[in-house]
Amino acid sequence: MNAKARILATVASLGFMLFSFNHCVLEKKTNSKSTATTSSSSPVAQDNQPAAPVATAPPVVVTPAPTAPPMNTPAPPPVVIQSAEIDIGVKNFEEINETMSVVTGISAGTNAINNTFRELEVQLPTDNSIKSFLSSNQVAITKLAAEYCDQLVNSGTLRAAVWPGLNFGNSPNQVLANNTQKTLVINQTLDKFWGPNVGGNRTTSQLEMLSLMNDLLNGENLGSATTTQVTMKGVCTAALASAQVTLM
Amino acid sequence: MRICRYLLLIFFLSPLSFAGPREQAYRLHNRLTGVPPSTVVLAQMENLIQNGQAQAAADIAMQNPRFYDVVIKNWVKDWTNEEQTNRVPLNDYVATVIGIIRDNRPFDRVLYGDYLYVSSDNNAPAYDNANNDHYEYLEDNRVSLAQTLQEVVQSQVTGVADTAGVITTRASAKSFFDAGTNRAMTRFTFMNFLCKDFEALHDITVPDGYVRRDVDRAPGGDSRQYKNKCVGCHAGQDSLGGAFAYFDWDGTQITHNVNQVSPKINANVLFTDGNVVTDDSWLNLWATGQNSVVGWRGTASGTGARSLGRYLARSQAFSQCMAEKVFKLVCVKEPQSASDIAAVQSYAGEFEQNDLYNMKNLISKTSTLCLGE
Repeated sequence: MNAKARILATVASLGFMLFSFNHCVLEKKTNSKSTATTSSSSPVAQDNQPAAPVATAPPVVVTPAPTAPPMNTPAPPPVVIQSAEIDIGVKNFEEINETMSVVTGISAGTNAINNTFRELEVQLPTDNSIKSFLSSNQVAITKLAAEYCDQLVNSGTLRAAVWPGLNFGNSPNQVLANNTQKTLVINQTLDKFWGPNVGGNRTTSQLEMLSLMNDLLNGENLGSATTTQVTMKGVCTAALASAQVTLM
Repeated sequence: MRICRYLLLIFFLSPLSFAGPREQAYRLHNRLTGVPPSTVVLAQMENLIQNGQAQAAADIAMQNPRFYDVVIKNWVKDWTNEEQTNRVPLNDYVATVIGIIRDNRPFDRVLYGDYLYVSSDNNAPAYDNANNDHYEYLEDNRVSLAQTLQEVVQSQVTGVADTAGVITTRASAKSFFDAGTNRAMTRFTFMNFLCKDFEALHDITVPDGYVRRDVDRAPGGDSRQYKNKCVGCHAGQDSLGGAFAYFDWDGTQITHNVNQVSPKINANVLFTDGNVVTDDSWLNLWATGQNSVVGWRGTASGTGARSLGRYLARSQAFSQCMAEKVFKLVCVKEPQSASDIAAVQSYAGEFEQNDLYNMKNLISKTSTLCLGE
């Protein structure tokens, strides 16, 4: 793969790390999944609820300082800090490998894939806990995705199953010349890797992929079929290493 | 830099908001098999979820061989070693659990059944008591466990008379009978199948008559340390641990010498009046008192590994532990909300009563608790 695709892969890792971090700590749930029960009837307690602590921590009961209430006033009920629940997990090393194999059609037993997987295995996530997910995990995921995409784009039969109608022997000037052509292959990529009509924000993702593709083509030799293949490897790697594929 | 910006946006916009039946089916399949569903399977599962038959949808996903070959395999690997990691080769312990689940054997027999599962793959080296080559071949060559595992009689293959499900598999022996005094087997069986380490069972009111000679009665010259701390675990575990007195690991395979206590058990003497193990009888001194919450059932004494395995598997804690482990497997979190805790408790009861310890039912049922909103 060329340098641009590698840069793409590395930056993708950082993006995912940021994404994971935000999803781990931001939201506080207030629906029926809440674990708080003891002070739910108290308006004081509800008003004083601070932002959610680190997700999945058990509910913490904070007893107010005893100095405030006068002698005859009953002590206010304890403040219960609701714990947010993580509702997503990350696939482990073997699940990631199997997933990439399933969606690309490349056998995980292929020598090149198997060798890359063995090299990266220890760097891939060990278990399904999103809390233990590290940036190094994402780097390994991206490297593995790059290997799968390299194999995919180089295989005439398998790439035709993902991108039917796209002639990889033609130059971008012929097959990626306008937004219609580009959007078609982007949709095919997302449908294949992310599942058909699964998940939200598909339109926005398509637009972002379109911008990515334009960036990958910018300044390259648009009259060469090699550029078509390299660009498609980049698009493939971005989609295959994304959270939609590796989270569950 | 524009590429960086765009890629960041792509990842931020990754469609992870699961909502409708289609997204729920997609997630369910991913969690049960580790891979996304095919278009056909996704449509089937979506339809079932839409009609309020989420468990049937889970059952469809569980027909995928990767349910066994990937998800269950990695789930169980943690149980087979002291490091509790899944970064270990496939072994007979894991294969046996997979086989029991696949064949709908009552899962309590995982601790006392005379089962062993080997592959029927013709190219794999035959099962050997002295090495793990058979299973490593299967894993290295991506041989499907779901499709090739077959049950054999463990005692006939290994020559161990007192077989006790996975407890007496080669992998288990390698991890928990190696060196030491076999206490590791008791401890990790409690951790893996009752979800209780000995710290949780610590009870210094139990008589210390079974505490062995290798336990110092005055560590650091202070007998209070023994009375207030050591005895809390040793009194109970040493009375149970007798069940494994005839077992050992010789460096390559499990050994079981009937009527012959392994020399290592009584080898160290720090207190000469301590208990000397003379046979493989066991007694549960934790059956009463604070540890009665484990929900013990049956006679609190016996001889050998199989009888202890049966006794542990029939406890209420076993069912509760399995229900909690399954929840964590399919929901990727601990049961925290009141509704989840209640559901897990309820499923644990059904698991041991109506479902006759059918693990697949427990998994499919539990997986519907976290379809996503």
